Amino acid sequence: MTSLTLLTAFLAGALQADEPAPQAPPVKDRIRFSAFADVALGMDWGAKADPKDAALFDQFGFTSFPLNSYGRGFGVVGTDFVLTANITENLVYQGEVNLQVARGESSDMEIDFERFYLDYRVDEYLNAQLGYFFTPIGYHNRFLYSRAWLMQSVQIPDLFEEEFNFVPTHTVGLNLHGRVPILGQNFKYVVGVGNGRGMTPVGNIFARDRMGHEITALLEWEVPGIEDFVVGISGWTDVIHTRKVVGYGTSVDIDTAERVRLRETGLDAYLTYYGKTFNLLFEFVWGCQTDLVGNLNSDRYIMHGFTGEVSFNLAQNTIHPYVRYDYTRLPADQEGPFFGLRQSGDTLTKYYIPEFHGVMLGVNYDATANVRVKLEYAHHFDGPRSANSVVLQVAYGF
Amino acid sequence: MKIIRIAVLMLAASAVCAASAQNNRKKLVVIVNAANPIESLRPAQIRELFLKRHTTWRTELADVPDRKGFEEGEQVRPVDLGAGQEERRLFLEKVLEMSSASLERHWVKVQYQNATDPPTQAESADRAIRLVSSLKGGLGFVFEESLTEEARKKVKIVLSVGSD
Repeated sequence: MTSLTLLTAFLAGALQADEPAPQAPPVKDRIRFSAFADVALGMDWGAKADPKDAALFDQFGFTSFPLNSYGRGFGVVGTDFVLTANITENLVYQGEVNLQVARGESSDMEIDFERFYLDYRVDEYLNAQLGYFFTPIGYHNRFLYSRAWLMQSVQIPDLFEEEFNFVPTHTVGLNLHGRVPILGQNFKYVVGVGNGRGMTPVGNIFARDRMGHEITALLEWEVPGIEDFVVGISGWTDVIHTRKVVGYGTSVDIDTAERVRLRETGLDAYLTYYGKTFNLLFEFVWGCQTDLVGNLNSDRYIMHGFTGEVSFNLAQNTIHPYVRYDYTRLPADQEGPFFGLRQSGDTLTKYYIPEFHGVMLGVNYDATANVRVKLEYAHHFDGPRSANSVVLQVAYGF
Repeated sequence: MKIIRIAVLMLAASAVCAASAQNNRKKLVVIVNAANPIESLRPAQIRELFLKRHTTWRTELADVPDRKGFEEGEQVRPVDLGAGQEERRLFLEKVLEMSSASLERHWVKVQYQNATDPPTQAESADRAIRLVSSLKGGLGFVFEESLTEEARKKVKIVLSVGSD
């Protein structure tokens, strides 16, 4: 009887014993997929905002993109696939591939590599990111990118459009990032070094064959006492090695053309607030390319732009009316020596790149947790786009 | 016969009212591991931690003098309950102040933006308590009545929220 009591007590004790700390599941169970896509139906009417710009675009534009974003008919961009894996407790891999429709009036599909990097998480103060990632500049480029489902409005601002690369959107390199207290305030920081710009604005993406010069830095202040209110400033500097190409439509041979070297410096200031009743998102970018050789018409080429959006949260945060204003101002003298260059084999050609100046008014509705439907009216003050357009977009992410 | 029917209906109605009142008296509590030196948290702090805007206990420990070996860099380990559970509905409404759909959007968004994974999901309140008691940086929520005497030795209540 005593033995039975002891056995019962032992079994009861064993059953009540502390549960062992949960073990990390195998890697295959720590891999998560997500995807983002959208379909748009557009309509435009009225005259072109600026007929001279429209004529320039017809003659020297690279493709019909980005005009078709606000164009007529149905349009798809593609589907973006994201894989995230917690390899170990501190090591995370993230890869992102965009299976997208080729730009312009084409049925071709292309694979666009967006990110692949390892993130080593030491602690909240210090983490390291190594690989190919969104350049840590500003807010849009890091957090919204061109994922329509994440955005209130329909289109990524031209400032952060990777087909233009006014701001270097992608980098191959190393970032250190974290969150630190300074003078009793919380700041997030990122400092990075990377390969930087290639010979053309879109050429940086696969630049991995030379030690680059790009240095980036970002500091973001979490405004105390107000949730989700941050103010940030970031900057970058790089040296661009390219060729002198004068005049829209002109092509040069890379091996024989005159060499150009530019020091690029940029600043990005932003403010974001996501509140219960309304949200704010303002971002300003300034960039300067300085001639280091002395063989250009001007010493400095300045670019600047702004995007500002105010949106409201109605009906338990499912309906969001919004208004957005954007502009980009590119360097004088045919957008300067760098923007608009495209490479094909050994040839470098100069294309016309339009500026953007417009206001967008719309409303979006979260039909489910994963589907956002948007209706947007856009008015363009100048540039080659039609003065008026309407877009209906269904964006989803999961 | 009619009188009996009315009496049965009244009894049923009063039983429903009593059950509803009892449900309304249930108190939601936010719990952390017993080793955590923090004694109380405000809903705004819990939002920051649960949504993984803060990934370690550092900020919350700033004013806690006796850490008892609890590392300030200890990772926050939120534990969520399955959709549809009454505790979760209350937690979303009273503490996170967001809808279930908004929370789902949040996790898809931060996974894309920062490679941040969503919280561990517990299938029951008992499992949530066990997880919080075994994870040093654990943070969870249950009805107070789910906490047995034994469980109260392993977790600590840092916020109580009435359900009405």
